Amino acid sequence: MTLEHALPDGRLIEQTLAGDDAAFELLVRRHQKSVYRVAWAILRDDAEADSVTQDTFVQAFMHLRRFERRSALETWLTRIVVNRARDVLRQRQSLRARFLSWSGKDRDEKFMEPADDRPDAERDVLSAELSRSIDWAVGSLSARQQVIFRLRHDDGRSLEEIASILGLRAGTVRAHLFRALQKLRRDLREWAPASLPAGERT
Amino acid sequence: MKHFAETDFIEALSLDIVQPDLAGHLEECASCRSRFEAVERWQQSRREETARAIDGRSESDWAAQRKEIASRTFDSRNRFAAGRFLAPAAAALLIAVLGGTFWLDRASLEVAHPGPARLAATTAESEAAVALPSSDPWAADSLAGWQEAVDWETWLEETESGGAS
Repeated sequence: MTLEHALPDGRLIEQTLAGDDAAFELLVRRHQKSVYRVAWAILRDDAEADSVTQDTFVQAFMHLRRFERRSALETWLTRIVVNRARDVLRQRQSLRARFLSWSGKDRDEKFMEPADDRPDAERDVLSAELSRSIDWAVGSLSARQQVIFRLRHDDGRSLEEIASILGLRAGTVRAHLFRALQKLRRDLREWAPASLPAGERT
Repeated sequence: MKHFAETDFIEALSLDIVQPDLAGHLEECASCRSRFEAVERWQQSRREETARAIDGRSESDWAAQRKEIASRTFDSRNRFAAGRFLAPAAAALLIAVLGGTFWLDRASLEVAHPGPARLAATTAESEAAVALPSSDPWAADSLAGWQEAVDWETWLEETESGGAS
């Protein structure tokens, strides 16, 4: 067993606070992948995820004394990375709003109607269209809703885990997600079976 | 037959709850089941992309990231430590400079516009200097080169007076 695995986080934190830089490097090595994973799941961009991961560890290092150890270090780091990623999402939203007001467009493209009885290749194309439509619609959610939605779908976190990361109750997370879904419903209203009369859709 | 939309499927996957009416419908309706599976594939592909983003990074990428973190972290700490030392020093220096400037300003102001007390003292000093009589008229600076003659004159007077007595 290497030293990296032998020492618990708490011990490495104490050593870091005592001025041992190597201890902090071990903490980074231990948690960098999980932090990056959350950043990437929310931002879906290598450069931004890398930058946010770095910010997270720098911020954690600077405030390590304030870490009260009521939760696991990983939870604390995840909370920091989620907050940093949310800031990036807010910047993106601002750019998006500016772009939309400048271009006068509500959407950048028209979507194809989904169908079911088509060959596999065409269905793949439709899946890609569906994916793009959902991505676009998710991009219009609030930063917090996006974080919750992406942690749920892209990172596969349970509602309870998300609640723990965000410091919220599971019911609150559920409510946020529900509101996000309501908004997605409006934005994705084109996505209904084309062959069905409108009255037969839910 | 009542069909479901993609957003219904997303909701079911989001909340991890497949309502009984949806579950029953999916068993009967091939069209909706196919679309539900498409949404499931979408979710699966999102998770796979996330996993690939992690697995696709080489060890050198992770090492470079750690190096960057270490550099930024220790830079921040050094700046913080330097700030802890430099801030009081800078404050003390600023106070000294401001205090000095204030003192100099005040001193030059007093010279230009002396206060009544200072003015009275200066005037008294000047008057005293003017009123002071020279204790020995022969000791004036203008007679410095004539000291021997002066001494002789003094000696002559003393001799004459001594002789007279």
